[in-house]
Amino acid sequence: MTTDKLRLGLPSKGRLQEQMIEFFAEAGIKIVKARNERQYAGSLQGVPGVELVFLQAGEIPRELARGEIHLGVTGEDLIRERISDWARKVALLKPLGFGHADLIVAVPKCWVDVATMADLDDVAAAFRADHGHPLRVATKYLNSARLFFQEKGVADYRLVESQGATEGAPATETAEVIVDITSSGETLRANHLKVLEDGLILRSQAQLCASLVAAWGPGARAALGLFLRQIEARERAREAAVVRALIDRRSLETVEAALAAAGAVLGQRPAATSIGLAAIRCPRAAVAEVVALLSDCGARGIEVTRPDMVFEAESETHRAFIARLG
Amino acid sequence: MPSEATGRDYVGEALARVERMTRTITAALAERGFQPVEPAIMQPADILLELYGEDIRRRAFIFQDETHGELCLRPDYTAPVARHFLASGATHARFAYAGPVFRRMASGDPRPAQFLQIGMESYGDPDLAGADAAMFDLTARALDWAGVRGARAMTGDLGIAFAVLDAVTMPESWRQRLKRHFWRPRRFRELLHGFVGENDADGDAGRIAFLKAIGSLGEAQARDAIEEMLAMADTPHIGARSPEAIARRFLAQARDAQAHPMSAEVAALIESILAVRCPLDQALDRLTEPCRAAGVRLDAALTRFERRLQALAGRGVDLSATGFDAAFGRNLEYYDGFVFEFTQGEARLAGGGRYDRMMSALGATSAVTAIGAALRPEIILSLEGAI
Repeated sequence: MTTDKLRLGLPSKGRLQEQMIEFFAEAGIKIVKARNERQYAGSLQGVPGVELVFLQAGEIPRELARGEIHLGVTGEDLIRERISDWARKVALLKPLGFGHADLIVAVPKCWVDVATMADLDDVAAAFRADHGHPLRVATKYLNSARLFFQEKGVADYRLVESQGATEGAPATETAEVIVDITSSGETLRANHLKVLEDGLILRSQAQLCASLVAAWGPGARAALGLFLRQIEARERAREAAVVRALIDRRSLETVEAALAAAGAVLGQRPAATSIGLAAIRCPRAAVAEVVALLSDCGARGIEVTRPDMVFEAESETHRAFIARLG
Repeated sequence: MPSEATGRDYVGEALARVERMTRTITAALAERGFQPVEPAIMQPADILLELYGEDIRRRAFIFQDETHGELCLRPDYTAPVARHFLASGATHARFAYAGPVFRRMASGDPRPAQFLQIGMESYGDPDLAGADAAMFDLTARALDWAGVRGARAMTGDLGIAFAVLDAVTMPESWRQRLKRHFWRPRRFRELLHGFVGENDADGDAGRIAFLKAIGSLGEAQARDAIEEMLAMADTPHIGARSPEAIARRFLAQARDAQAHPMSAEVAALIESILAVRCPLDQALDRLTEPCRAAGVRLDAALTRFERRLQALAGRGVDLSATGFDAAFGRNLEYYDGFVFEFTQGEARLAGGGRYDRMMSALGATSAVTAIGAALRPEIILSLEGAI
C-alpha cells in the first residue's frame, strides 16, 4: 500500500450497509455508491484522504485483524468470535447505537430445575451418566461459547457447530442447549426456550473498529482525526439543545452557577451591562430547567433550537487511539 | 506482531547434550524394568476431549483432517502411553519415554509450544504407598543422573481433600459440586461459602420459597405440581432430557433447599485442611488435628498417608526437607492422589503423580492403578547454561 489514505471497510450490501451510510450521513460524511448497483465501488465525501473498501460483512473482522483496512463497522460479537486475541489487534472506538443483539445461553423452558449456569453444570454431569454422551451445545459462536463456559466453570459438554437455525436444535434433539444471538427474544419464545439468569454472554452492537496492526501513516492518522471529529460532533449534537435569550448581563451572572449545575455551557454572553444575547448549550433533558432559570431572572425572547453538530477542540478517542499506536 | 516461540532447533553441542541426557536416563530406566515406548505424535483428539472437555482446544493443538477426523499433537505422553497399555490387555507394566510434546501457550506466554519430556509410567502395582514412594525416589534419581544437585521437592495429596469431602455430612449434590469444582479454587470457595449461607447467590427468594414448598410434598404430588405448572405456562416438553429426569432433579433441588446450611465449622475444617502447608514430617499431625477437633474420621486416607511417609523414609527421603501443600496439584486436572514436583529456584524440573481414576475414563474395564512422572531436560540443561 503506497498511498497514505485511510482505508474504510464497508459492507457491500444489506441492512448493515444502509445503517452505516445513514449514520455517517447524519455526521456530514456522505457515502456515494457507484452508479451501477452491483459494482462494489463508491466514494466518500466530507472527510478527505479516505478510501472505501467494499467487503462481505463477515470479512470485516478478518481484514481489520490483518491490517488490510484501518477502519470498519461490524458487530462486537463478530470481533470477539472471529479474531483470536482480538484486543491486541482491534480497538473498539465507538458503539454506534444500532445492530443491537445479545449473545445468550438458552435451554428448553421445560427445564424448570435449571435457572443458572451452575444448574447447567449439575445437569451436564448427570446427562452424561444418563445418556452415555456429553450434553451438547449448538452454536455458531464456538469461541465465545467456549470461553464463557470455561469462565462459568462448566466443563462437561460438547460443542456442536450450528449450520442454520440454532434455536431449533433442542426440539430436533441435535443439541440440548444453545448459544445464540437474540434481539427481541421472539424466536426463543417461539421455540420454547428460555435464557439462563446468568446466561448473558455479551450485549453486542455495531462498533466503529480500528485496526491496531494496519500501517497508520500521517495521512491515515489525520483522516481518522477528522472522521472522529465529525462523528463526535454529531453525537454531542444529538444530546444537545441551544437556548437563546435576551438578558441583562448581571441577571445572567446570578444564575450562572445554577446553569452549570444543570449541565449547561455558556456559549455567548451579553457584551456589556446592557441587555444582549446569551446562548446556552445544555442537555435536552435540562431545557425546561434552563428556561425556568432564565425567565425567573427576566430573560425575554427565549428560543430553543437543536444543533446539527457540536464541535470540540480535540477527540479524546482519537488522542487515546494514536497513543496506543505509539 | 510479536511471535511466540514454537520450539527450539537443536544442532551441534546442544543436540549432543540433550541426546546424552536422554540416553543416560532411559538406559538406567530400562535396567530397572521400564520398557521404552514411543507412541504416535499425532493422536485422535476424541480422547482428550473426553478427558478434559472443550477447554482442551485452547491448550492443545487440535485440527481437522479430511481422512482421519479430529486429531491432536500429543500434549503429553501420559494418555497415549496409558491407552497403549490398556490395549495390550496386560495387568501391570512399566514404560519409559523421551521425546517432544506440544501445548498451546496463552498469548504473551514466552514458553515454547514444543518441548521435550523424559518420563516413566507404572501401571498395576497394588502397593499404593510403595509405588508412590518408588516413583518419587526414581524421579529424584533421574534428576541425579541428569546432573542436577540440590533440587527442592514439594508434595501434595489430592486424595486427602476428596476424603474430607466424603467424610463430612452434606447433601450429595453439594458434595458432587465441590468435587467437580475442586480444580477451580475460587469457584470452590464461592460454593463453600454459598452452602454456609454467606452469599445470597443462586437465585431469588421467590424461587427458593417455591422450591421449599415443593420439597415438602410427596414425590407423586410434586410431579403433579410440576406438570400443572408447565401446563399453565403453556410450555411443551422438548429435547432429549426426559420429563422424569427434570422432575427428579427439581425434587432433589427442592429437598436441598430445605437442607440446613452447612455449618461454619465444617466449612472451616475443609478450608483448614486445604490450607495445610508445612514440611512433610509435620504434615500428618497438621492434617489429623483439625479432623479430630471437628470429630471427622479420615482413617483410610490418613493411614494411606502414613504408610506413604514410611515408604518414603524407608528409601532415605528426608521428610523434613520435603515440602507438603494440601492444595498442591489442584490445577492439574487428572491427578487424584499423591502428587509431587522438583524445583530449583523458579524452575520446575520434574513432576508427577497418581492418576488411577483417569484409567477408567480412558476405558479400563477394571480398576488399574497408575502413577508416573516426567522431567524437563531443556530446563535442566538451560539452568546449567549448556543450551
